[in-house]
Amino acid sequence: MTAKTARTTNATEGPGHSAGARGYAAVPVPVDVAQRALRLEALLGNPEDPANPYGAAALAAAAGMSGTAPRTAAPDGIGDEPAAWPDAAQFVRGLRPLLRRDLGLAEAWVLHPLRHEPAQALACLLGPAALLAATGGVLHTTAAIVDGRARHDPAARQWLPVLAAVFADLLACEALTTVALRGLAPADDAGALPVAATGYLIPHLVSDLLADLELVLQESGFGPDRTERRVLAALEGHRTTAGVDGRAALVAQQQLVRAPSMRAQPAAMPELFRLARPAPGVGATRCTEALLAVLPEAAAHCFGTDDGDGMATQLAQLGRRLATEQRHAHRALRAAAAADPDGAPARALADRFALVLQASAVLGVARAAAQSGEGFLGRPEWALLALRRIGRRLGLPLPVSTDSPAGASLAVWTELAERVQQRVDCDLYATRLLW
Amino acid sequence: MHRTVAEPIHVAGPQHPWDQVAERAQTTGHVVVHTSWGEWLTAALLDPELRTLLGRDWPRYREAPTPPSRFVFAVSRLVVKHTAAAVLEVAPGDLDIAYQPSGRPTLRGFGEELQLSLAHTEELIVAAVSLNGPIGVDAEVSTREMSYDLLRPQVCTEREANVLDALPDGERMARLLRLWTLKEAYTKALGQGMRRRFSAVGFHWDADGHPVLDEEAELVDDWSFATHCVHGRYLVSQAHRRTPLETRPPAASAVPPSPDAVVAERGREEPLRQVVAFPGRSGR
Repeated sequence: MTAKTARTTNATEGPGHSAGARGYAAVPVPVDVAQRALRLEALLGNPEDPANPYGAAALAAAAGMSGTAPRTAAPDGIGDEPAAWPDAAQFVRGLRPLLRRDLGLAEAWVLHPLRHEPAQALACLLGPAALLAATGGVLHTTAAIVDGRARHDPAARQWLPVLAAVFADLLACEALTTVALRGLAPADDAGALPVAATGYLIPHLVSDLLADLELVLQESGFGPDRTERRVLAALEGHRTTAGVDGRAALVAQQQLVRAPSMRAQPAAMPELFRLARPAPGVGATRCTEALLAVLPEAAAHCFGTDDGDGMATQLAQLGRRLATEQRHAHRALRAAAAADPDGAPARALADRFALVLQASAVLGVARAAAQSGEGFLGRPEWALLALRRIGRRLGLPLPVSTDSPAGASLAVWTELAERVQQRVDCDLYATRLLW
Repeated sequence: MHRTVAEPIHVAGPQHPWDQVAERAQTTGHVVVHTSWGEWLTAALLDPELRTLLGRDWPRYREAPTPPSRFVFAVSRLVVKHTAAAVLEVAPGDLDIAYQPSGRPTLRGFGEELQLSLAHTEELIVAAVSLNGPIGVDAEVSTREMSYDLLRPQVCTEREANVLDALPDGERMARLLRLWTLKEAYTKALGQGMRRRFSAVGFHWDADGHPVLDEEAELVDDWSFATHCVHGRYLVSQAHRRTPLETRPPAASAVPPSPDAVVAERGREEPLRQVVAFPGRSGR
């Protein structure tokens, strides 16, 4: 299944799904979540309409002139108590059209009010979720530009692997954030390990992604005055107030260092990674244990046998190396945190550990999707590309290969291009866009 | 407005007094150092902690194709670690150099708080550390011979080419080399490296002979550029963008502020306000 048909295959659906909701995204969504998201998207209007006050041009201009988010009150229901949505991941999914539209608007209507709520862990995850959604919007726009040009301009094709890599990294970031949301329980606080890892890693990685997107736009002839560049600049400009900048990442890093140490339990929790199922909401401790159990298990059983392209084998090799890295980083971080939690070694090990958790989330989501037959998510290409990049960031020796990385990159670009052509979002769920 | 850019500091080896380096970083927020791998080689190879110091770079060190390339690799990583350690007032062995998928070096765990850049040519090694925004360095032998006709369309904007065309041969090549190193330093600071077309990035020199980026004034005000001659035969260019204070993470130090302090500083009821474009980018 590709983005061409946003319908389920044999994925088990939870209660409340309908044919309409099945058409909304490749990964099934409860009807009420789809309705909320569609209502929100309709209310925000066409982003390309120059007369729309919530359009891309108007929001970017507002950020450039006054630096404040539009002062209109949030529509009814936007600020619903998160407790009304027991599944934190679906709560965020229902808000996606707003988060994707503009980070400043998301900050004004949702993030800022929610910081006063008792659900601090959810508030800490909303920022990264909003940043990723907005970045996905920029990627979508950039990919549309390159896809159009690449048909007749060979020079534009140099950006296909760059955008494929951005897409893979974005999905990897969404995997970590979504798993953290799915594991969230009401008692969790901002210092919970999956929350801290997300809060630390996402701002740093998104900085790199936005830099690549800016490069592609710049080299495609989109100067600073073009709307597409101004949208990107506005996104960067809102990061501090939205709590997803370097300062916020530093706070999250300190919490990550100080998080209680965990031991991987032999029993995994596959339902944590089954995005089509209701979130288990088991709490940070169990969520962390489930993440730590992924790499040792998945290394051997991820995608079965190769289809001749070597990807399954490469994934297994990467999984083994990452499992070794996880053991070392986890043990060394505990020791460094005990010796000096603010020292440079603890900070470096926190970085490693966060990357390993991200790899776990990627492999967990990919394996669950493969077992459910969920199209693109269930194929190895995006996971392979994402894990190779995580491995490179960790400084791990990568499995020697000839064709697999290039093949994976091409497959990921093909999916991205199809999503652009079919008006499907760059999210994990392959959600249809209204506009 | 041009800001005077100090010359790179020469560091003769691991035992070199590093207080000047630390002081420069404290005063200006960043520091550039230079050395030759020969000056560091004995100390590096005899250091029993070399493997530990190189960390994840050890396989690359061992697999370098020739002895000189191996020495350059090892020494360059040691220079970066010692420089960053001097700035942070920690031991070099406490630091871990990481690489983005693009190959850009970073200090693991420090994000944008502390940014690095590295360059080498022949025996020269140049390292840069910045606490207040992205930085890039590049170096070339000042007498390097290049084909102006071949490089002109690849390196120069139309404006630059018109200026260079009118210069005598010797002066033209010197100016081209300065342009090359400035553009390399600039694109490294942006994290884009050679992916950015040099012919799309323009420089000119102001009345005082300082390099200035060909962009709108408001977009270049935070940038500083300079080219210096070191060891009498190398050109070293540096590019640095001073990050606006309100977007800058808390100063990298051995003891970061507590989470409560950062949250309190940020405030709960502050009005939503714009932040200047993020560090390292020329456009908004």
